[in-house]
Amino acid sequence: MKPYIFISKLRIQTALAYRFNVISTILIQCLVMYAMSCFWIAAYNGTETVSGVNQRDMITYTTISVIMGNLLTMGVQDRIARSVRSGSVALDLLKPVSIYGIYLAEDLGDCAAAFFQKAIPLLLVGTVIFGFPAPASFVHFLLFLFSFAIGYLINWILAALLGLCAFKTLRLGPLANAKGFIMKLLSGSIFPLWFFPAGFRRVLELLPFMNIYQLPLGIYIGQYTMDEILLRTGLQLFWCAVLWLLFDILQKKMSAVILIQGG
Amino acid sequence: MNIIEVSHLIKEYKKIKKESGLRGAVKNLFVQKSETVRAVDDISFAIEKGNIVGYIGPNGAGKSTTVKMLSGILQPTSGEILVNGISPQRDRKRVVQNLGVVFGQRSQLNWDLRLGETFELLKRIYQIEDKTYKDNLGMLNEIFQIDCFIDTPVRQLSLGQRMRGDLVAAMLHSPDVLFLDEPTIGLDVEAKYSVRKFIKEINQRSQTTIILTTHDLGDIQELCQRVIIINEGKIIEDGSLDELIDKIAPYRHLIIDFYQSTTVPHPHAELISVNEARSVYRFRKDQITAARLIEDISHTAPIKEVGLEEAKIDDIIRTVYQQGNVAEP
Repeated sequence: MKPYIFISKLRIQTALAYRFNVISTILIQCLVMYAMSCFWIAAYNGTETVSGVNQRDMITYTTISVIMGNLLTMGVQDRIARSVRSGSVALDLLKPVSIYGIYLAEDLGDCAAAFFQKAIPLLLVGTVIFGFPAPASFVHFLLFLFSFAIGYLINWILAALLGLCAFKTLRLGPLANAKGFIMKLLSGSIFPLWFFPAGFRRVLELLPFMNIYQLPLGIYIGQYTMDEILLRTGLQLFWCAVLWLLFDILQKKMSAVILIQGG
Repeated sequence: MNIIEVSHLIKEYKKIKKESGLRGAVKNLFVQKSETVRAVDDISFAIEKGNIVGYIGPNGAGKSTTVKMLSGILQPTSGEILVNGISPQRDRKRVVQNLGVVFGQRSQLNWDLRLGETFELLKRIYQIEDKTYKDNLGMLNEIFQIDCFIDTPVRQLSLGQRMRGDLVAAMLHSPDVLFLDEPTIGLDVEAKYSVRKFIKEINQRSQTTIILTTHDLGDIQELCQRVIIINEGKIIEDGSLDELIDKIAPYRHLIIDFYQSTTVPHPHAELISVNEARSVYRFRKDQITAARLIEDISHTAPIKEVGLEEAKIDDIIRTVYQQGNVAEP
């Protein structure tokens, strides 16, 4: 465990050194948060509840969603693609550690840095403009944290799976864009799935994407009953395990066909 | 004891043939022709513990591919590799725990960190004990004087400093085997000298087995007890440098300046040029000694100045490369 923790620590240290990056991100994210909240205020237009969610909860949902978006930034897919393209993946493979363990540690380090640099400032700004985005209860908050953690892993594995394609194609380009777009739309990060037509929603609820944003956020604002939370968290864990297995099989296959670029 | 054993190693890969031009580009979208290339073609060798072996060959000969297979990064198409008795393909982590690798063209140091932080990271990755780490760093510092830039961010290091950092990084966990892939590339004379000194010292102090690939034949001459020459994926020579010289270029040149223009032939030496008072003889070492030749000639005409030229290592290696090319149809 030691090397991985140390890598995360170094990542936090490195991230703290880049201040300009942080300030510009916060400014843009504040703008996104503000615009989205205004959108929901206009959309509700005084209506009490839509699909059992009131306007206050919807603004909480949006604020937390934007904050989560900053924590769920995954470097792994570009990291793999870049290492494969430049050939530096060779250097990673020369260490007596798992390279994917290193990549995960790096992303977790970035996530921790983003928590202090982005999540907290955004929460403060959100609180000042729209009031504190409070969870439904303390228990809901704890369940949210657990669900968020599993969602993080699912998101990471999906990114890593895409990264593996780079071993074959060398570049991700349009693939990465398509994935980003699908994720945004189908995970409930912008529009909660309960606004979609029932049939479409049922399909989306079977896919892994909603486990990343929609499920933790739904738990946070108290949209789900306890029974539903249990069931859905079980399903989330199931997806996490399935994706992990798939990743492990593919990752082993890829290491057999690995090509090192240059020299 | 053999620390590295390689038998019948083959690495093939598919190369996609692309046609040129716009028309070719469109065609490539639909049909792709591929051909199989053998980068490494049935190579076998064994290396004893504590040796420094030069692994040389022209660009694209398959040197780096071999090194990458030895370190477990690449999977061979067929053949067997054992490093310390372990197959790097089956147990990569155990093999690399005992392996140091430096690629001259690629740094394992992290750009964003200070040099010392990279070392700290490596200490954890290889799980080096505090005491061993301190001893090793102390010893490496003694040879290399890295103290003066250990707190500098890696991106600000000069190439020579970076290379020293990379070599220290590869040796921190006191590996038994060290692979150096062009460690002196792009370095100035002084830095080259200190890298060579480092390699020698490491080899002597810790009995580290070193495989060195390089295009700088000065490295080979100074460091290697044995050279393996590879071309187009095949080993074409394997032996000590002296043996190689005797085999490829068994002759030397003797340059004699007489007091006046003269021509003095000798039965065991070929007179290859006569330019006024200067004559150049070519002779085989096993036929006559230089002393004898000089003595014989001085009986005929008084000698003013004598010079002896060994065959140049560059020329020898070039001859070997060319022979390899001729052998391939």
